[in-house]
Amino acid sequence: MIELSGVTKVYDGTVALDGVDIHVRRGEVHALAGPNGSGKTTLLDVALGRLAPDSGEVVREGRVGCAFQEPRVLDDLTVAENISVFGANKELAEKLRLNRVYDRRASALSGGFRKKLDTILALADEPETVLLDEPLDELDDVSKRRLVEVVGEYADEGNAVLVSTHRLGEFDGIDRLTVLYDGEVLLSSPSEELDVSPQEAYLRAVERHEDG
Amino acid sequence: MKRTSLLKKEVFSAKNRLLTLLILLVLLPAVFAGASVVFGDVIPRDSPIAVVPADEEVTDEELEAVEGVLSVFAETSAFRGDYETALERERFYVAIEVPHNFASGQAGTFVVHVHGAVVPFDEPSKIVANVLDGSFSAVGTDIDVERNVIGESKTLSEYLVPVLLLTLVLVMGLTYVPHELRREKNAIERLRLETSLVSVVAAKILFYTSVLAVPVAVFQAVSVYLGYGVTLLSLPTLVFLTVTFVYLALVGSAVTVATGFGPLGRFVNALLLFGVIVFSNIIYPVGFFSSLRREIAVLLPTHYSAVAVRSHATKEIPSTFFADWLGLLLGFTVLAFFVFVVVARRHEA
Repeated sequence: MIELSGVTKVYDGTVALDGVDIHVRRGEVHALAGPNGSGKTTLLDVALGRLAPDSGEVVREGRVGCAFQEPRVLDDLTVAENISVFGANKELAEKLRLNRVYDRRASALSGGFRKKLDTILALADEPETVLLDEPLDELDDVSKRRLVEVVGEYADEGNAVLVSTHRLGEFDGIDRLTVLYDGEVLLSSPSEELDVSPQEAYLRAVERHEDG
Repeated sequence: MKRTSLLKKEVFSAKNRLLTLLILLVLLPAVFAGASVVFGDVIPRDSPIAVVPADEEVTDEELEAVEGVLSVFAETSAFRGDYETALERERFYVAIEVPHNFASGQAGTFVVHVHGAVVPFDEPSKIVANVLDGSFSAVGTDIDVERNVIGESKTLSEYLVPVLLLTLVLVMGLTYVPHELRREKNAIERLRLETSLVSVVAAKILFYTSVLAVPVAVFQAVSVYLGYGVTLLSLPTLVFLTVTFVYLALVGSAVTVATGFGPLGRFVNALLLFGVIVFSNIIYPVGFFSSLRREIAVLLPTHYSAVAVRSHATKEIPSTFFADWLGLLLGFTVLAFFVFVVVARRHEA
């Protein structure tokens, strides 16, 4: 579980996060959406502890795993060696078809395989909370579906998942949606309380805001 | 794309790497040039030579007279301490034992002592003996000059074996370990989720310290095969090699982290490696070089490593002979560790 309360972060006079409240609960896939430059990555960095907020409070329970926008893997090691070093789950790796490239060095992988490997490493040792930054980027359709299944099952096991994504339409099983715009929360709601899909709710929230 | 655009790209690129280019194009050549000037002063002319009394009756005036004879090509000093220990610690490279009353024309014997393991001073010690002998013959005295080699005489090849091994250790510590750390730059963020940068580097240094056993064993095996009288697989030699490696690996890693794992760090580490090898006098004894080089060398912990490793490998000395120098080296290693911790914490902040 991660809870950010009234978090503000300013870079060089620009407000990246402005009094943001967000609660990522156990057993939920919480989607974070927003246009480019809305503060999503900054929010993930604060949630992860890579950045300290200028004000506000961050509460984390248990271990936090993370899949980064740019995969952070050991490039000189093979996929199997990466999985071994970080203690990642081999069954999940096989489900995402990473076993096909076990003997290949991470530096030689395609963008999609690197992304999948990074996600598998984020789930290594089963952290209670996992943050995923654009996990569907560069994935083929089959892999997207399987990764969404893996993430959903992981949340169903009682873990908290925060997904920052531009691909809301491809991410089934979102339990809660938060929309950021210029560092402010435009919308935060359980999916079941939305009268449209999360993707449509996001688009409407942004258009409504921009139309004033 | 126009050629001028490509040139413009190079100008922009150079502007963004100004510091690296300054080091490569200005600082490095300056250091090289400076080092070449120092090499110009090389020669036995400045070698530290001890003038020691044969017994307590020898007067200071007698010692000073001998100092004067040799001062043309050596840096002579009257010395009344344990000259054998001084030779083994390479404080002096030759010790001339002066008999009492030699100036009065009585018969006597000068003894030119040199250590058999400090091979580069074998020939200079013969020259010293010849100069003395010639001086006394010219004035028609009955004074003899003898040359005494302390310990077992070694060949230049035997002398070079521990020297080359230490050089390899320096290269590994200052370039290979930092290089490996740099290659993990991409994964550092992930590793930091699980552990600290200090732990990552500590594990790396620990691993490569154990790997050092391989080159040591190879050097020893080749030495045995070639029939060299060199002992590398001894506790004091291994301890000095290990501590030196850890010290330099910490320095190299601190540079790598402080420079953001970028190419600047590689240049700085290469520069440090060059400086350590040249100014610590890893290859040749510092006594062969100028007094300026000696003043620089004694400030560098790796100078003490060089003498200690070479001595333990080629001389029959007690294990604790260089205990004080080991303490000094450990002190620098602890200091390097704290510097690295500070640099790592700042990087993580």
